[in-house]
Amino acid sequence: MKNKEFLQNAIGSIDDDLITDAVKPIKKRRPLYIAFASAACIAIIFTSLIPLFSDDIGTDGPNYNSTSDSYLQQSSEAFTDDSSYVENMSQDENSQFRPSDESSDDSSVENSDQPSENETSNNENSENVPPDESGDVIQNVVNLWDKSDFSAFSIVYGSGANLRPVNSIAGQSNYLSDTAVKSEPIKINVDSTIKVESILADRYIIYYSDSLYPIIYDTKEDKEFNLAEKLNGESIEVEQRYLNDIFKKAEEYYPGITSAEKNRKYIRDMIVTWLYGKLFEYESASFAPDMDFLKNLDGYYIEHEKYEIYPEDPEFRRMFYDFIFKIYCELPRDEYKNIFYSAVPIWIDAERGRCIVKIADIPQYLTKYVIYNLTTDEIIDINIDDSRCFTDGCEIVFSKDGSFFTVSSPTGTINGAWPIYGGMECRLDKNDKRETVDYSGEYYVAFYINTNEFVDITDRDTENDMLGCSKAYISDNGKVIYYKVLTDKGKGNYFKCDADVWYNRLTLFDSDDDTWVFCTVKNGRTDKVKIKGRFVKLARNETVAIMERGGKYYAHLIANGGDVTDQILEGKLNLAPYEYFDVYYSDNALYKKNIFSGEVNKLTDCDSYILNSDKSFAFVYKNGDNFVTCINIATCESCRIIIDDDLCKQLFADEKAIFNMNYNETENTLTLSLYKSDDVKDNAKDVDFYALMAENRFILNQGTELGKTYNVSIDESVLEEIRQYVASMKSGQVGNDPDGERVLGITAKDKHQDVLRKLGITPPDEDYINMNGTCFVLYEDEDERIEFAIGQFLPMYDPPETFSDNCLWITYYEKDGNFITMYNLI
Amino acid sequence: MTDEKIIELYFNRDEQAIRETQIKYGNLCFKVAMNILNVPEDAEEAVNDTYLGAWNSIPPQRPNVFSAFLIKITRNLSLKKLRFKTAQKRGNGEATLSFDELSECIPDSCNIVDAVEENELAKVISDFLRALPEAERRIFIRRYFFCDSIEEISKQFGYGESKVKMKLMRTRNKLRTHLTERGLVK
Repeated sequence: MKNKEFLQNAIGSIDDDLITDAVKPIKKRRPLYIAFASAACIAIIFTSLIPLFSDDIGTDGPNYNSTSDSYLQQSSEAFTDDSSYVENMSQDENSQFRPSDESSDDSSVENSDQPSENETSNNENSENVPPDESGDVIQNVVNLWDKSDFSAFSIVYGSGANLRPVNSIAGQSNYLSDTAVKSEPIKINVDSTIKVESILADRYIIYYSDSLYPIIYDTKEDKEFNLAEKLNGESIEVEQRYLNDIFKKAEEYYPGITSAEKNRKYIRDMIVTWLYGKLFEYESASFAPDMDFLKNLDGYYIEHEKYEIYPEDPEFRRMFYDFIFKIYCELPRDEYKNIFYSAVPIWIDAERGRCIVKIADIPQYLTKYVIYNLTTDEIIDINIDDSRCFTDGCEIVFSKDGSFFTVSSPTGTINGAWPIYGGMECRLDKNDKRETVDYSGEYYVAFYINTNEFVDITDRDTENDMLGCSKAYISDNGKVIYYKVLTDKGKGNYFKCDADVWYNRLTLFDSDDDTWVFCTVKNGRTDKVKIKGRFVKLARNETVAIMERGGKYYAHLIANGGDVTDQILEGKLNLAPYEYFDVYYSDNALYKKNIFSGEVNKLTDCDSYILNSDKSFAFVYKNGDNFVTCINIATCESCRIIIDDDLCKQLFADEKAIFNMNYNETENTLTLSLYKSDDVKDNAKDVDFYALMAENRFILNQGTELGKTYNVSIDESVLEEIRQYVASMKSGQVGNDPDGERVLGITAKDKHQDVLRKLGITPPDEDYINMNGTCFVLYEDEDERIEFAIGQFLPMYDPPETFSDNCLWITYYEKDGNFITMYNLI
Repeated sequence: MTDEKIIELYFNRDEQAIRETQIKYGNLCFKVAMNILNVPEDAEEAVNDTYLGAWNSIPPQRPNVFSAFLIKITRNLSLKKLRFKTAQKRGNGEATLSFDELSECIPDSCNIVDAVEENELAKVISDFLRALPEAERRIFIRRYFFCDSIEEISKQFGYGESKVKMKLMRTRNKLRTHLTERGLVK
């Protein structure tokens, strides 16, 4: 007794920090598929952010007040938990700005740049306005992904892989703590029959329910749209007739196969799967049914005379897939021509409520694209049919405002290795009618928003062997198009322009040659200026391009075309204060460099940052902090945007995550997103991603509920087999499992399948195993207990946590009797 | 209200200090007391005694971590009450179970050396806990300091109960080894 009490008391006196640490929120394990979900796992939107700095932007100079400390006082009160940053900021209060004073003796690393006295004098009386009248802390947290009790995800089409519907995953997400999230659950009826195909614009869910048609569900407006039904008119009759024909055909091969409801449902689901996949695969040759598989199906049914469907058997599913295709090919093709459509939205403009929908009449598969206006319920044909989209990989990308899109598809290769993309650019008029089609070929076209014109920016300067541009940009107010020219045709690299770049083409070559072309555009005519150097920024109302060459900065006049001021500038251009600085990131810190004096100042340490378009202010974030700091580049004044503390800790507790920020100047919103690590992202290829979903479906299909514990009876013979199996694995690979226990062995596939079947678990599809390294792992721990895990080892994963998250664990207690405890850590 | 301000109220002998303490930490203290005593009335009493204890201790004490300071008082008071009740064969809280488990660290066949003081042992245990992986450390403290049930811990951490039990057992074994190696258990 003495021992026990003594120990009790001693534990009662452990250090305080251990106690407080133990009561911190706990990050529960969560499924990786959520982390993958449609790229962004969580979005936190902060609204109404930046009135503080909006007045600073422009050519009239800053309106800061270097003597005003009211804002800092507010800040320091709000930042009671960490005042160090505020102190740093306050060092600037009375310092002076010396834009061209290279002899500055201010050796302070931080925040020594201040506007010139002359410029300051214009603004002496102006006040710094906090970002919010009520203070500098703005908190409006909405988690876009906690709107449902199912996990949302996207699939990517056109990969050439067989596409299959993905079941939704029921069960309460524990992704975020309740306290961190204030949002309404989605009102969609989630049941075992729903198949969520994709999520678009973080708002629209595309899913199948009891229909062959995909439904668009607007989570914001709680509305459903069934476009295919609209297209098909008498949809129910047509759909049922089509299904009946399918059933009849199936009966011709296997009499009695459609007698059971279960079988009919399976066939219907398979049709959905098949139709959906067909929408994104175009080379009909690739759709020839695999006769070997059909033979196998025959053989299968010879063994199973009752024509029972085996929905969870991947092998059976594959065979049946080809069987369905065979039936499809044999149906009379004209009967459903132009009356029975499948339609899948592929892009939704959430702001304007319209989407691009790929439709096809099912028998003939004459595919085309239409614009469907969700608001007006109108369908607008934009006259793009499958003749424009010859093969896999056809891609439509929209400009930000939805007024312009490109259609591209691979048409050839370079040196047999790299695809050359062909396609076209299309412009939409105000009624969304397509006006022009420009075959891209080797043209490079940007859309000029001010005049609604396409501008040819193709540059064929044979002297310099220029082939085109790598990236093209249009300045924020649309005055200047600028792009980097390409001169090196030997590299053979290509990459896509970012989706958020207006101009969307694919480049064939990359170049180290820093030559840029600046075009000023008027009525479709461009005046071009070529300037060498690293492009830094546009300045002075976009009439000046700041370039850097050899560590020095030059300003070039570009507004008049050809008039280049090629000299080092010494503050003669009447730039706004923020235009004096080049802001860059290095060694986990954000720096600003005075482009005239060359003086470098560290703004702050951070892990992530984003600049607004004119680089007058920056948002910075340091991993683990519960705030984002917004810094005025010129004055170094700052404010903080507070993120929910618990949420931060939870998100950053264990897991590698990439923090990403996006600032929408129009909406004045800052969006914070968390992504999985680069490793995961890089290795999560489309097909892998899809397979991951399928793996989870596999788990669900076993009847398990996520997070629940099951006791499964198991007979002695199976136990013995497990023991033998474990024994056989002892000579295999040895390593450490997530909890530091000894891994007895890892097997890629074959051997474990029989064991699993005996445990009543259908093994994963071998294809998935091969593709994704799905494996079966055995552990033996100190307690003479054997643990099994079926999970995915994606090659570059940080194994411990991610492995655990993706495993169906089966634990067998040898000590306690003949049962296994099967539980799922997801 | 921040902890500093609450403590300042204690120093000013302002009874609002008790109310603020109750608002901020009342639930936490009650949870700990309930884990140990398993009777709401007793737990309530222990929590009230905690406030009194804090009132009598501050000043002169100025706790560095106010929450931990309170929880320790609650825990000690609850344990005293539990021992009294156990002597009278009343009550059977989660603490009884957890302490029985804990006694495995120092079996009856062994004894803590007489020279060891409670504070010294606490320091050794603190060092031991710091060296543990985070999950194991927190599970251990949850179980043996806060006396949370296995079921609660498994929910908190998202583990199965068996996994929690396994981790606890291993940590106890490690602690026994740790104490033995340092000559604190003979």
